Amino acid sequence: MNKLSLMTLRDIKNNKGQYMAVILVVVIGIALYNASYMSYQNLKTSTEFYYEEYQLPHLFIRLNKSPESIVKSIERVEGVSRVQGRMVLDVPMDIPGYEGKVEARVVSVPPLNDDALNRVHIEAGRYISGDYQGMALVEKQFMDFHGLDIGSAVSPIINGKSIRLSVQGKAVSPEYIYPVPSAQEAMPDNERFTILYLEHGFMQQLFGYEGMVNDIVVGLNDESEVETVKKELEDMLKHYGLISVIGRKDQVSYMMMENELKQLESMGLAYPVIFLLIGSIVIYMLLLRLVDNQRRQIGVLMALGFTKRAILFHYLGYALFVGLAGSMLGSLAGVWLGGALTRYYLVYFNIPVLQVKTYIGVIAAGILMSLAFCGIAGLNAAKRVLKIAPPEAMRPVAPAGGKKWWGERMLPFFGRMGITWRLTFRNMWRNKKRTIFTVSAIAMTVGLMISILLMLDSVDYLFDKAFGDALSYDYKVVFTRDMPQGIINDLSEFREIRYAEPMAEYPFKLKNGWREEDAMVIGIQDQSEMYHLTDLSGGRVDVSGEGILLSDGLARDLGVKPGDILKLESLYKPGVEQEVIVKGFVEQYMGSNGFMELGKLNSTMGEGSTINSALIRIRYNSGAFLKELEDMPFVRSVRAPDDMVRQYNEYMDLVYAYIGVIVTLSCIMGFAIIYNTTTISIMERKRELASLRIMGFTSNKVAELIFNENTAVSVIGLMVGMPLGRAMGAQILKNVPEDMMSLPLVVYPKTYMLAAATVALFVFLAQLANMRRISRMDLVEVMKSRE
Amino acid sequence: MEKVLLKAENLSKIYNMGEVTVEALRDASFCIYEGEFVVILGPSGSGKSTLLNIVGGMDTPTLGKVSFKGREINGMNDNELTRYRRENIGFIFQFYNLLPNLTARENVELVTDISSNPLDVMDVLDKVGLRDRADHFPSQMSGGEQQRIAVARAVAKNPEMLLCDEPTGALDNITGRVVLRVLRDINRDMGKTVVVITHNAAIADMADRVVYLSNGRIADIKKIDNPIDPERIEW
Repeated sequence: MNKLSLMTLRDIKNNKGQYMAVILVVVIGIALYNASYMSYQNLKTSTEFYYEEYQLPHLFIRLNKSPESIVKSIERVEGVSRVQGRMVLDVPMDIPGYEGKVEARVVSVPPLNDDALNRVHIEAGRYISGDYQGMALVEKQFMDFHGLDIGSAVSPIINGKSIRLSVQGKAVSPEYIYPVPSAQEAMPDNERFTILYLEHGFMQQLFGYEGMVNDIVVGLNDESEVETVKKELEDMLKHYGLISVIGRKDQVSYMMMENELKQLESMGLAYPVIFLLIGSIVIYMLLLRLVDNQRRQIGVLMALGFTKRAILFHYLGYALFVGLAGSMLGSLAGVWLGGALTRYYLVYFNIPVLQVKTYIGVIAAGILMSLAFCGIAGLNAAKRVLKIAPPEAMRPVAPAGGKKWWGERMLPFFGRMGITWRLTFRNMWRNKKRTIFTVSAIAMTVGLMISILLMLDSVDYLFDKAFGDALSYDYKVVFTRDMPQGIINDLSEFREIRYAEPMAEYPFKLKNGWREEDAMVIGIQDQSEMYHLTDLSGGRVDVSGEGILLSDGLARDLGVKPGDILKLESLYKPGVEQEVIVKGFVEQYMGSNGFMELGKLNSTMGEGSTINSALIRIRYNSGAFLKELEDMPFVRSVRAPDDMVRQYNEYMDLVYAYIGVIVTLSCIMGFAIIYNTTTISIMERKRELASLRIMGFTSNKVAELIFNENTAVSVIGLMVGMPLGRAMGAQILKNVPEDMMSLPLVVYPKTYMLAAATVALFVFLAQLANMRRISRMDLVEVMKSRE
Repeated sequence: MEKVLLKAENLSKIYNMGEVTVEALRDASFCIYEGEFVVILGPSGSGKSTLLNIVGGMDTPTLGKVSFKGREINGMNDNELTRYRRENIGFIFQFYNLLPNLTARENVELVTDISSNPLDVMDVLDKVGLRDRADHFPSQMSGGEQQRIAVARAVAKNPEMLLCDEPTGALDNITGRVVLRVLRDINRDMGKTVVVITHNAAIADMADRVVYLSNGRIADIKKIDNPIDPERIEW
C-alpha cells in the first residue's frame, strides 16, 4: 500500500473515537436516505404492480339506483375498455363477541374473480363460489383486529333485518389499500369499519336491487384519457341520478397512498441532507485541526519531494475514507431499515404483493452523495496545505495573536468575569471559524430535534383544539337515514341524556367559477352549545342567518372571500343546486367543511326539518345506556370525540416511530459533534493546557476551561437552533396534506427545554469522556515536543 | 579538477517583517564539489538555515542564483522545485522528523516509493546498522536510532547530495558520533556529497572543506587536508 494511505489509516486508527463519531453521522444520514428511498421505491413499485395486476379501475361512478343496462351504454363510450356495474351500500353490522356496532360497506363482486376490475386478493379461505347464498368475503385488517376466522358469522342489518352470513375468505382489494369510508375519515378504524364483499346477484336480491346498480367502475385503454372520458360520462349520466365520477387521484385510498409516497420521497432527501451537512462540518473541523497539527510533517513531506497535490490528496483521503466507510455501513443499515420500514407500512396499507427489493442505483447514489459532501468538506480543509510554504512549515507556528475581543472592550460585563471565563471568550474569538462551525453544527442538531418534536406538540394542540375546545359534546349519534328533527325529543327521553342537539351533514360539490371542491356541509343549531366555531383570530362565530362559513383551507382552495357567491350542488340528492353567500371563514384543524345554520341547510336541500345525526351531552353513563342507544334501529353509530383521538393515536404510531428514530439519531449526532469539538479543542491546545498545569492549575481547573468553552458554544448553538428548528418544522408541516388535517405550528416550552437538557447532557458526557485526556496528560512529554 | 555539483552566486535573502527587514543572507558565493564532505559552520542567527533552505530548493533567494549541475534552480516553479528535491537532495533534520505513524522501514519506503532510482531499503537500513529495527515505530527507538533512520531515509532515494541541518543537535556526543560516522561512511563508500550545517565547531574537523558563515556572510572557506575520524571528535 502507498505509504501516505498507510499513514492515513494509522492516523484514523489512533484517533478512533473521533473518526467513528463522524462516520456515525454519515452512517445515519445514508441509512435514513436508503431506508426512505428504498421503502419509497418498494411501495411505489408494489402499489403500481398491484393496481395493474388487480385491475384498479380508472374511473369510479356513484349514482342513484339505476338500471343495470346503463353498463352497456358506458361500454360503448370511446376509450373505455371495461365496465363493471355493482352495488355499494353502507349498513350497520353485528359480529359475534363485539358489543359495539360496526359500519360495513357492502360491495358486490362478480361470480368470477379472475377477470374482474378491482380483483380481490384472497389472503385466506377462498373466493365466494358455488352457491353464493349466505357467503361473504371480509376485509383483512378488520378480521385480524377482531380475530375473525374463515367460517365466522357476520350479521349485516339490511332493511331492518339482521342477515347472518358466513365468512368465506379474508379479502384485500386494490380499492381499499387504505380502508377508510370517505375522505372525511382520515384514519382507518379497523374496529368499526369494514368492507364486506357479496356476490353481485346475491347482493341485489338481498337489498331488493334486482336488475339495478348504484356504482360503476370503469377501466380505460389509455390512462391519459381520464379527463375526457370523465367529462363524457358526466354528460351522459346526468339524467340517471349521477352523484359523482372521480378518477383515481380523487379516490380515497389511492390519494392517501400517493400522499404517503410523496411524503416519504421528500423526507427521503431532506433529513439525510441535513445529517450529511452536519457530518461534513465535523469533517471540516477535524481536518483543519489535523492540517494545523501536522504542519511540520507536511514540511517534511515537501522536503522529501512530495508534491503539494500529493499531500493535498493525502488529507482529502481522510474525508473520503469517512465518506466511503460511512456510506457503505449506512447503505447496509439502510437496506435493513428500509425493509423493516416497508413492512411496517403494511400495518396501515393493505398491499398483498409487496416487493421488497434492494435498489443498487439508490445505494450508488447514496455513496456518491456521501463522497461529494465529505469530499467537498475535506478539500476545503485540505487546501490549506497549498498555502504552506515549505520552510515555514518547518518552523513552529507563531502564536495566534492574543488580544481582548471586542465584547471585552465594548461591554465591561465581559471584562469583569473570572479569568477562566475571560479566557473562554477570547479563545472562541481567536478561533472564530471553529466557533462558527461548532455553533452551526449544534444549532442544526437542535433544530433537527425541535423540528421533529414539535410535530408532537402540534398534534397535541390540534387534539386539544379540535376535540377539546371546539367539540364539547359527549357523543355524536349518527342515524342510518334522514330523520325528522322530532327525533331529538325522543332522544331526550333517555334519563341519561341531559341535552341533545340536532345536526345534519351532507356532501356537496362547492363551485366557484371553474374551481370546485367536494366537501361535507355541516348544519348545526344557531348558538350551538356543543359545536363551537371560531374565526381565524380565535373569536367565536355563529352560523346564524343566511350564508355559509368555510374552513380556511377550503376557502383557499376555492379562492373565495367573504361576500362571494358559491354554488352548492348536492351529491346526496342529485340535481339539487343552490347559491349561497360566503359569510366568513372558520378555523378548522381537522377536515375541511362548510358550516350552515341547520334550517338554512335544510332549505338548501329543498326539504323540511331533517337531520342525520345528533350531538348529546349525558348526565351519567349507566353502562347499558350506550348499548341501548346503539341498538336502536335508526342509529348507525355512537362515537365520542375520544374515540377519534384514540383512532388517531393508533395511526400516529408510525409517525411516532419515525419521530423516535430521527430524535434518537440526532441525539447520537449531537453527542458526536460535541465530543469531537471537545477533543479537538483539547488536542489543539495541549501545550497551552500543559503550561497551565505546570503553573499550578489543577486538572479540574483546566477541564473547567474546556467545559466553559463548550458550554458557551452550546448555549449559542441552542439559541440559534431553537428558531431554526421552528422554521424547519414549519417546512415539514407544509407537507402534511391539508384536507386531512391542518397542523398548526406549535412548540411548547417543554420541547425547547428538552432540547436544551439534551445538549447539556451531551456537553457533560463529552467532558467526562475527555477528562482522561486532561488528567493523564504527560506534562514533560507535551512540553518537550515541539508542537 | 573536481567537478562542481552546486554553485551559489551572490545569494541574498531579505525578510520583510512588518516595519523591520532582516537580511538573513548577504552576497554569499560558494561551490560544492561532487563527492566531498562539506561543513557549513556558523553560530545561531548566522543564516545557516536560510542557506540550507535555498540550496535545498525549499526557499528562493531574494537576489543571486543557485545552480545544480549547471542548471539554475532559483527560477524554478513549485513543481520543478519539488522534482529537484525529490531527485537530487536528501534532507536530514535536527529533530529527525520521522513520520510517527510509519515504522522505520516504512519511513524509508515512503521516499523510495516516489523516487525513480531508489536503493534497496534493507541494504540502506543495514548501512546505518538498524536492519533489526526495521519494524519498530519511531516512538520505540532512541533519538540516535531515529536520526540514523532519517539518514537512511535521505540516502535511500539515491540523491546526489545530503543536506544535514544540525544532525547531531538533539543528540548526546556518543550517539551523535555514531550518526556522524554513518554520514562519513555514506560519503566515502557511496560517493554521496554530504553537506552538514552546524554551529558545532568540533564537527568541522571531519570535513573536507569548511564554509564559515557569520552574520549572513561567508567569512571564510577552508580546505582541510587530513580530516579526522568522527570517533575522535569531542564536544
